[in-house]
Amino acid sequence: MSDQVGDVAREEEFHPRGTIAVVAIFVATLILLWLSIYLILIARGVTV
Amino acid sequence: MLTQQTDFQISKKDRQFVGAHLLVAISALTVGSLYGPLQAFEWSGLDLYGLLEPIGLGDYYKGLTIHGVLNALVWTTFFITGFLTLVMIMGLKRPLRYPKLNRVGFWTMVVGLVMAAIPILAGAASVLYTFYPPLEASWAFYLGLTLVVVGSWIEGFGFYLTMAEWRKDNPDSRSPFIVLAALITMVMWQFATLGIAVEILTMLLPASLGIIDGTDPQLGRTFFWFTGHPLVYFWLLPAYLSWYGMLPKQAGGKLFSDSLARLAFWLFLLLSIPVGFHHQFVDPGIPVGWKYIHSLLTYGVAFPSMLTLFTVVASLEYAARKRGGTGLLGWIRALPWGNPVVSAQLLAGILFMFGGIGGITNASYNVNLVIHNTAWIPGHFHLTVASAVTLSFFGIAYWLIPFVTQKPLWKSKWATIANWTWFVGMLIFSNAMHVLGLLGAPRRTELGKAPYVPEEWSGHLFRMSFGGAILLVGVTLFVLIAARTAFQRQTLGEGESIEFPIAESLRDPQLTPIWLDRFKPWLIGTIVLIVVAYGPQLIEQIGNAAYNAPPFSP
Amino acid sequence: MTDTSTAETPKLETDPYEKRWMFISVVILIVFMATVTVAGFALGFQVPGDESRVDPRTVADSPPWSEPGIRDLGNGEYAAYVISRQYLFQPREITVPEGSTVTFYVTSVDVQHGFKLQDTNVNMQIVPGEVSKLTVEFDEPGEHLYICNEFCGIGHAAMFGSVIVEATTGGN
Repeated sequence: MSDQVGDVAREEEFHPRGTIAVVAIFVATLILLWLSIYLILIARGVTV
Repeated sequence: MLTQQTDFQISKKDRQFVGAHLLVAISALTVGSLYGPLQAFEWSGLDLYGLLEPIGLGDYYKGLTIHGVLNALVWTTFFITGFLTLVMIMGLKRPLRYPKLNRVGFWTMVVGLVMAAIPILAGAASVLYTFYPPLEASWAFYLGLTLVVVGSWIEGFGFYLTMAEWRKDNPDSRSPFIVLAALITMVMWQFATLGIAVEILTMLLPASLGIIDGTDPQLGRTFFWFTGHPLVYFWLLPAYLSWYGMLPKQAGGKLFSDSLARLAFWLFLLLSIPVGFHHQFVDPGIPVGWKYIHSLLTYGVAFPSMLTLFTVVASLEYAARKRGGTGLLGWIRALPWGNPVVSAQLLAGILFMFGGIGGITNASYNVNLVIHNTAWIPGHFHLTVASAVTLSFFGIAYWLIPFVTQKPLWKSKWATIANWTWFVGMLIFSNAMHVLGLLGAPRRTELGKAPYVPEEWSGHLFRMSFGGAILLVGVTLFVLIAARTAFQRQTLGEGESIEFPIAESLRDPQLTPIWLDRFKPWLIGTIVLIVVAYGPQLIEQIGNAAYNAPPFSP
Repeated sequence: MTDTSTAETPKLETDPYEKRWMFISVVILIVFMATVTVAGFALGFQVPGDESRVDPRTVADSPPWSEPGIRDLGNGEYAAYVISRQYLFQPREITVPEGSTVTFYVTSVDVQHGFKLQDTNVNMQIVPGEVSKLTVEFDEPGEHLYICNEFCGIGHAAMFGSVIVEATTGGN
């Protein structure tokens, strides 16, 4: 880690790559869990 | 224009005023939380209510009412009004414009709380915290709740007047983010509580006093859920305020985007209220079309939360990288996990990711058929109000109590343990509750006495009560730390002080667009959206109202 | 801090990563909602709507509610009229043959109740003054409990009934 880089320069350069990874995990979990509940709805049959 | 950089000092009186809010809040949490594990144990077959019978508190539904009212309404409302008062004072670096007005607000809340507590304890208001008509409670319960809400409004008016004064002195400055967030929270709350105000004043209070013979329960539900959902956001937004406006500082970084933080709060003002029918998806008296429209709008209100996920995580990543964190996910370890103020909020955020996923499920119109009124629902809101909110408030309390008492936090390590205990307990408890709900277990039911419980549920019931026991340990630790901190003899040493955390923004807030710092367009939008989403159905239901359901005691 | 308060109004600037995330979240929400919409309005996974109003004080005295229970409408279709009251459902038991389509009409004569038919998608709030209606198909023999899932008072936990789906003669 180059801790000597000035704050301003660092702020200009900061790209939240790790954040992308976190939200990707979130999205995967969201789709998986949501879909599993949706499939329970479908499995339990129509209501019309 | 020069920003005033004078060292503002909050007065001792104002610190004590905030402290009084916390005292009521944490006392409520202490009593209310004791019933949680009792309920959990009862479900798994261990009925301990007999122990409370001698003091007249051994009734399951009386206990459930106490748990809901104290934890979901009192702990939250008092903590929030106290916390936001401090945010206003420290954010604007000036005392409240009319401190007496805010004191009137606080004492109105206290009087209301006492007034509601008496019938609850006497068993004359075992109607749970949704008090659906035609279940009947004592008039004092309804009047007490009304006073709590009115008191919080008065405190809000005190905030607005303080802000107006600041704006006069600072016409061109962006308002500090945390102050804007506090004000938006209050404005949203005042709009939202109109529903419950109308329900109580036109229906519940007159019926409990015998002025009218009956109520229209369907109309009552529509009024209630006008307030009921934004109520959740009233709890949540102060936690968001801390995640956006304080946590980055506490973690050693900066707020990633001041503009988007403001945008998220404005979207919450806009979208929190016109979504109430998603609590009424399986109600009889509301047309399918309106339910669908509210489902769409509820999906809309998921957006600012997803925005929050990104902005808050990015702010944390910035902090972690500054602290030497590396790797795609490895930086997470570089966050100051040893600081209980931070770890509480991080763990709250992790639990809230699951809460958000469950929330999107609940909002999904017909998917609601699977989980409506099942154990899934309390499983869900224990991830929101009892995790995202309550665990964040634990973290806030770890600096807030020292700040208002000028005493050091008692045993910081124990606070870390309390956080983790709550986190683990809640993971187990809420997961079991979600599963039970999917299997069909009903919520708010004395399940130990139900004749229809299949063997299939028992493992999950046990898991759920095990989680409940861990949660009891967690909350006991928290209360102990809070009390020992506040009531210890030791004060802060010479030259020591507790800093009020304000996260700087990566970009100068003066570069935030003006439309993200002005109330008018957003207020107009909020009113328009409420009128469009609620107007026609309200006119329909009020026009056809039949006050013919006589009250029944529970 | 520099003086930027005057002259030009600043525009909203967003980090390119965050902009992409905003786009993705909107897409996810739209896809979910579309999936739900298809299930609801095209495939028949529908929620209860605005059915009809009744007077909760007198509803139990007049037809069809004065005789709660099942009605054979022919062609395998049935209507079930169910009254919920503190702390029981009337009737307690409903029997239909396998392969039947049953429409439940449920109302309350006192407080709010719930009507959840286990292992099906029938899950309704029961509100005095309103009729809750939902239809379900029973394709296989067996028993489905209907339980009250809204707090209705001290005896709430004991409130349930059951639908017995009988195998049609001749077996499968």
